[in-house]
Formats: sequence, structure tokens, C-alpha cells
Amino acid sequence: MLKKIIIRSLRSRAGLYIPMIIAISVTLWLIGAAVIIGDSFQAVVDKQMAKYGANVILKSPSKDAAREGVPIEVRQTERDGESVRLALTSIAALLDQNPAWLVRGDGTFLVGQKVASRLSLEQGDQITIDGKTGRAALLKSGTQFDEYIFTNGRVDNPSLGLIRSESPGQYRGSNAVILSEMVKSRYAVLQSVGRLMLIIAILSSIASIATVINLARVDAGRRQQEFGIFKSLGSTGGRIGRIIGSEYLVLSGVAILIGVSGSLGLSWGILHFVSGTGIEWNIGNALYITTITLIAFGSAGITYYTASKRHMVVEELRGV
Amino acid sequence: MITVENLTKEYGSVTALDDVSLIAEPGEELIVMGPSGSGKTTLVNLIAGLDRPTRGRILMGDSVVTDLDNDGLARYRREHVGIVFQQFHLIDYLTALENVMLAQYFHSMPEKADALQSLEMVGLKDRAGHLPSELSGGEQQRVAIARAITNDPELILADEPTGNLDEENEHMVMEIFHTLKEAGKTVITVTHNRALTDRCDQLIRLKHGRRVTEDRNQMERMAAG
Repeated sequence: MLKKIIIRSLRSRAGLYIPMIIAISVTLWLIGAAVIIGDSFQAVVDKQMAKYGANVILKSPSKDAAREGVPIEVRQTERDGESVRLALTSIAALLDQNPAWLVRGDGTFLVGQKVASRLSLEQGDQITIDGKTGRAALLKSGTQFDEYIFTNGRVDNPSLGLIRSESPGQYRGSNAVILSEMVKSRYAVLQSVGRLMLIIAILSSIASIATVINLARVDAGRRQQEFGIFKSLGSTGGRIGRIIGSEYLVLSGVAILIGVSGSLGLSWGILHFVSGTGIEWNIGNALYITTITLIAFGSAGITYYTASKRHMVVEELRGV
Repeated sequence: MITVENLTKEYGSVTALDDVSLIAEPGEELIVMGPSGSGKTTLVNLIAGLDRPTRGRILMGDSVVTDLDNDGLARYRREHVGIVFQQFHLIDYLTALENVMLAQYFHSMPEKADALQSLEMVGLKDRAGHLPSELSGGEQQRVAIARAITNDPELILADEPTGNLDEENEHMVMEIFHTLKEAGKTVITVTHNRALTDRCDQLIRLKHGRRVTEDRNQMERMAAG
């Protein structure tokens, strides 16, 4: 009978409950996406740092140190009358040391995205520099190297070098770029998006909880009258509590299902199109989302329940 | 037996019911009459345990109903009382049968066969699957009566049960109450309709919350006991 009461009650209040679920679900999308993006960002950084260690790019004049790692020799040259910075190095070693760099295509030349844009070069274009002809692969590093064109070559006089270090902090301020910071710069935009979404999500949570309570109050007269009828038939407050609790548990379940799948989709979309990475999901996210939902629906349920306890049956029958 | 002793209900400075007493035996039908605002509904609500009096006592047999806490009152309502309201107060999303079974659910266990039997008693077995919105006013009131009697209570309280009904339905409803009285139930009915007083055992008249005419038999009983 309890099941029947709940199903029929939910169905009869669909017009009220659907906006409630939408309000909560949208909030959950935002909260979930903000949390997932934040977590995924941190997870990617942690994973890469764990895999490669903290690396450091040393720039001239630390040539001795530069020779310890992957040496890079930078010189100015021309391409179709345009001045470009050509860097000689081992491209494979360079990429190995820079796991956070995004490289599109294979080629003789690795063209930084800024210089590619300036020279109107696309991935796979054939180019000739210093009498050497080859195809262009494109590099997006988020660092000064986006201004360089790299090619494999013998390095006689390294002006830059990449090294591994257990304590990268010691190089800070001495013409060094710390790789962990470089990796983070790539995801900085995601971090900002995540933070912004979290702020919106927190505001949205408050708005959603208020929406749910207000929508519940719209139905309060009818609901109180219904509880009055239940009580006139001999129901105790506890039994009414069970009816409300079960009803709102069903609503929470639906909202959590829609909210979690929506937030997974939204965060996957953002991460996929902005950074090309996948999402990281953990039980903490699920608990967070579940808590918000239960607070929202629980507040509405408790509002009814306490109102129901406060009034005499005769007042409830009048729909106070 | 239900005994009402010096019952008074005040809402702030307004006295809705003033020192009213009565005794209703099993198998008796009481009619409560009086103009609007005379305290009829207040009296029924207090006897039903839907409200608490300011002063006075209500006894069901030897137990003092007015001393019960909220859970105790809920138990009293589900085990001893069947209430019929003027506005029917059916749950609009449950069918006639489910409305009757709802009372069984709060009482103990829903029994479809018993609920159908209650509907049959009020001539609505064939309308069991209909929602209240699909029933006429008279039919809704009969569903409310079926719901009130399905747990076999000793006391039936009806507040203006025919107030919204046409003559035919009114007659049908009062016949049901009469049958219940004949079956040994105590039936207390609030009404404006003088025609309904013909067969009653006691007529309680209220005015400004006070009982204005006394039933001779009851006076004698109270003096004796």
C-alpha cells in the first residue's frame, strides 16, 4: 500500500516535481562538472609528475647544466624572408622530457604553434629551412617553445637544455622553467573554468534548495490536507514521515541519476574539447552530489514533516 | 459508550463550545443541530480526537480520550472511530477501493476483499476502480462512509454528511447510518436538516456553543450514573 501511495502521489504531483528535479539536476551538473574538472586536472598533473619526475628547462647561460640533459641549440634563420628561431636537438628526447606538450603529426620539423600561425603553416605542410626540406608537425607547449621550430641535428653549442631533477625548486630564478609549472600552465584555463563553475554551482545549489522548498510550499495546503486525512484515519506522525521520506528518496534518486550522468557528460565535453584529456571520477564526487541532493529534497520533506507535527489534525484538514 | 463531560473549546477569546456534556450508548443515533457557528463541528472534531478541548473530558468506555498524547489519539481514531466529513476528504489520486484500503493500511493490513465488501455495503462495488474525480458527490460521500466503516469502529462521526448531496443521495446516506446504528454502532451526525431527526435517539441542539435543549432520557441517565 505504501508503494501504491507513493507512486500515485508522485504521479499526481508530476507538474510540481519535474521542475524540482530539473532545478536540482542542473545544479548537480554544474557541481559535478566543477568537481570532476578540478579532480581530473589535478589527477593528470599528478600522474605526469609521477611518471616523469620534476623536470627543468635550463636556458643559456647555464650551458654546462644544459649539456646534462637534452641539449638544444637555438639560432636565428630565415624562411621565405621571415626571421625564425630554429632549434637543433633530438626531437624524440625533447618530447620524452616534455610529456605535457601536445604534438600533432610527424615531421622533420616540429613547429611551435605561434610561429606556425605567423607563417601560416599547417600540419603536414612541406617546408624548407636552411636548405633542408621536410614536413611540419605542430607543437602546442604553452611555453616559450611555441615560438621555435625544432629539427633533429647535432648540437655543438647548446643554449638550452632539459634535465631531470629531484629538487627542481633550486633552479627557480636562474633562467629555468620548471616543467611541473609548465604542465600546470596548460591546464590553467581548465582550473579557472572549474573554479568559476564551482562558484556558480554553489550559488546554484542555494537557489535550487530554495526552489525546491518554495515549490514544496506551493503544494503545502494540499499536502497538509492530505496528511490531515491520513491522521484522521489513524496515521501517526511517524508513518507520515515514512511516506514523505520514501517519496523524497525516489525524487532524490531520479535527480542523482540525471545529475550524475549530466555532470559526467558535461565535464567529459569540457575536458575533451579544451584539453583533450579524459575524466577522473571518484566516490567522493558521488558522495558530494548525493549530499547536495539529499539536503535539497530532505529540506522540503522536513518542512512538510515539521509543519505536520506542529498542527492539530483539524487544522491540517483545513489545509493550513 | 462515549461520554462527553463539560467540554469547552476556546480559540483565543472566542468560545466555540461551552460546557457541553452528553452520553451516547452503543446502538444509539445522535443528531447534533444548530445554526452556523454554534459549535457542532467543533464538538464532532473533539469527540473524533482531531482537536483538543480547552476544558472537559471525553471518555470512550473507561478510557479518557482527552488525556491521550498524539500517538494515542491516532490509535483511538484508527481503532474506535470512523469519520465522515462534509467535504468527503478522499485522496484524489487513489481510487475508491484504494481510499477504503488506506484506512485499513493505517489500521492494520489492507484487505482488498474487505474493502470491496465495505464498498458493496454502500452500493459502490462496481465503482471501485474509479478516482474520486470520476464519481458524483453522493458517490464520493458513500466512498467516505465505506472508508469510515471498513475497520468496524464502535463510533461513527459524520459532520454534515448530506450537506453537499441531493435528496436521493441524502436519503441513501442516512439509510446507511441507520443500518449502522441497527448494527450496534454509535452514530453521531451533525446536520442542518430537520427531516433527519425523525429516527434519532437523541437530538442535541447547540447555540453559541452551548447545549440549549436537553434530552430527557440522557438527563436521567446522567443523574443516575
